[in-house]
Amino acid sequence: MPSDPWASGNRPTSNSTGSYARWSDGRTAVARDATANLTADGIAIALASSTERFLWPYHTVSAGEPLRQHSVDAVISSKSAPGCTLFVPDPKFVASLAKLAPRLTARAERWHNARPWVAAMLAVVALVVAANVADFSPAHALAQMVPQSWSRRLGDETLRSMTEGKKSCADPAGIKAVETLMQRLSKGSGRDEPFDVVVSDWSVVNAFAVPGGRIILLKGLIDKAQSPDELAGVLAHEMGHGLSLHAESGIIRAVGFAAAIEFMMGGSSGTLANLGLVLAQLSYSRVAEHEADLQAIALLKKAQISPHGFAGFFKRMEESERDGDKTKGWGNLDLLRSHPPTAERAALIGSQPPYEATPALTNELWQNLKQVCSTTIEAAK
Amino acid sequence: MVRFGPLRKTIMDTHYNGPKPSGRLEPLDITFENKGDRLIGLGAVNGILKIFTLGLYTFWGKTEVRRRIWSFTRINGEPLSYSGTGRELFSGFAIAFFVFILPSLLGAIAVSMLFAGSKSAIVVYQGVFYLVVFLIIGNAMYRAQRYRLSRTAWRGIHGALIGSPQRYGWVYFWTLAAPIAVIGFIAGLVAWQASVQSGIALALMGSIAALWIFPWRANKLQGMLIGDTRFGDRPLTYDGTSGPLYKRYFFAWAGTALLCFAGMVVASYYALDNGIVEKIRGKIPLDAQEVLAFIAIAALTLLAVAMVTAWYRASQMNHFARHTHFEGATFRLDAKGSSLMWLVLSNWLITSLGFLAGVIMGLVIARLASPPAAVSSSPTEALVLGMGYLLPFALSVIIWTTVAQTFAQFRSVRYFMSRLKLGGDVDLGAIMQSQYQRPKRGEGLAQVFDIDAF
Repeated sequence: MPSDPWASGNRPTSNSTGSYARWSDGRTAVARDATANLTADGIAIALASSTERFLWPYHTVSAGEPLRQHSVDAVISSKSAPGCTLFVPDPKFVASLAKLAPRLTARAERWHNARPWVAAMLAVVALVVAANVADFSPAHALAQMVPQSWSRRLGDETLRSMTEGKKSCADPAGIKAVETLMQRLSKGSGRDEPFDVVVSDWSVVNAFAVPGGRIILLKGLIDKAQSPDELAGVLAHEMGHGLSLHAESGIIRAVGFAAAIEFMMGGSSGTLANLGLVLAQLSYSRVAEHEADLQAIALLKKAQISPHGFAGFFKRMEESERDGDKTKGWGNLDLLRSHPPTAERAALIGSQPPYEATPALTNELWQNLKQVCSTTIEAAK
Repeated sequence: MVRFGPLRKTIMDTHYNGPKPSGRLEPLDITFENKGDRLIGLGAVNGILKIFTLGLYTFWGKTEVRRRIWSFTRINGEPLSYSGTGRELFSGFAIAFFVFILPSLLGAIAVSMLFAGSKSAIVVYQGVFYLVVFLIIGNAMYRAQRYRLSRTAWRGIHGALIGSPQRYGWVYFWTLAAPIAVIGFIAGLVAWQASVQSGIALALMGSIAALWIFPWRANKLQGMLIGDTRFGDRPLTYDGTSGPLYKRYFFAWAGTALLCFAGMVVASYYALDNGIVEKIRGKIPLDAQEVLAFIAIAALTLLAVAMVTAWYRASQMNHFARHTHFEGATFRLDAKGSSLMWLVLSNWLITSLGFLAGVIMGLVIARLASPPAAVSSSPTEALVLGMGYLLPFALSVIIWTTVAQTFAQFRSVRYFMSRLKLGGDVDLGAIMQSQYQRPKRGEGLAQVFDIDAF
């Protein structure tokens, strides 16, 4: 049975002078019997059948595998004897060595390796908190540097992919009414170019802000709106997104997060990383919604349109949603929703001082607007 | 890469009073310490440290796992040692990231912005990207192996891989690309001159026939890897030819075809018997039992195909070992189709169940840890709230998956090492230290592509 080379009779008897060891000089693959002793100055090695003696000071030694409580043996080398290795199959020797050279232990090595990154992570967290406290968003700062023509191009692309296969609403009187409403809202926007609104013949209740100052308004939302004030509120909210460059910052942030996570995960499984990405995006989107709400309130005020239609519309939407909601049971996972709760929005609007307001559109224009999808054309390719 | 010739002469010239080549031959006994339980705690610790370093500890964690698994492998009772560092893996990855990943990500964004609305531009970009990946993947695998061998030592004697990664990468590429190109060209010609249907049929048949290049290709690539491998200054040699592989390959190939055909026949028979064709025509949804039946047929077929494939792969591994020689001794591997199949299946189960357990436990913990309903929109609070959910969830998933992956990795190495033997005696005094240049950085691209299995 060749599996234990020391069983064949060449193993020297262990005695009080030290632990049995195998010493290799690193020049050939031959090993020689030796005795290893842990002394105050270092590991003392005595070769059997020779008078050669070595002393490896503790600060020069390293272990093939980090030393642990359960270690039964160790392969040791030393800077003082490059290439040489010492194999000591003795648990007691390893345990004593761990005490004399604690930096060789697994715990010490792990901490040594992880410490700079833990510090770096704390610094990143501190930076993120500081940026939040100072209300500074790097993605937003970058978004402001993006030329308008790029944003337009990106907006065209987004518009095209979102409305693919859908028709655009093009009733001239209805479009005129939308434009009238937008002109009234744009007065206070401080933006040279007016916002473009594309009405899409799609029964979903929603509206989107896309890069380059565009808004996609869906037919479903026009159908659900009960007054021009409600629609004005939604449009002002989307204008708020546009003014704050949320779509642009969102894209920049998504790219930045993706690159950072790809880097941090070191090419390993991306499932969790994606989850983190979604959560991070959602928390930003909650912030963005809040910002858009604040902008909307300001725009409505400058246009002298009552903000209560805005609050009322979201309240109605939430109630109808709740009635059809079957996914209860996971409690208040508010984080998983991108929009702030309606109650919070109502409170925000309620806290605004009242001002003089007139209906957002005359009744005639409002009726025209409601009919905007009576004529449709193929969406531009 | 600079290639150094063996420096045996130089070593012998220096004053040397150690053992000289004795002509004394001794057997080398390869064993593996079966202590997988030791890796569970390590996996958990690595998982925790990964989280608190935003994943960057991965490279150091991987290194400690390697050091432990390497030392489980013993030759004549003395362990292999792994001397790579986390820093080397990290810098290799960082370079691959900034040279390859980041530019290709930015390139994708640039293409989609510059050619907004043009789908073909993005398709062309993706095509070029995958072609580049295909061109360099063999190179990356070779470099990864070169790094690992250079960091592996026994009794202080290092391994080395001394060939050219470019050459290996090129062979890896053309042995697949050439048949694809030839078949594509001929099929395209036929489609153009005759009919599209016959072109497609030819492409399909050609692809099935082209599978026959695999034993030859695997044998050639293995020969290149082994032939370039050194332990100390001594070479490993490979004298395998692909001929003996083809007998088994024929059965595996024909068996796979037959099984797929049989699976399709059973599925069609079931479909006809239960009026499923009519249901699909009438757009009537299938009921759960019918869907399950199809899944079962597909799963059983795949399982049978996997068994046939494992049977071939085991014999190929044995063939590779049988034709690998070192200093007059010959390796022997005792892999069997059934055990290899079980290894793959059980490792897949371990990693999937590990992930599942992590998700379930994570959801439970996140639910318990969920803060009260009061919600504010301030960015800082949103962030804190997000961490409240994310941190416990991420901890659970990462710890479970890291433990499962570490254990699966251990089992793969154990499978190979506990079945590997070296028959014949070797003069250890004749094996001199390796003087080949060692790579400075770890397996960058291989980590990016996730092919650095060990």
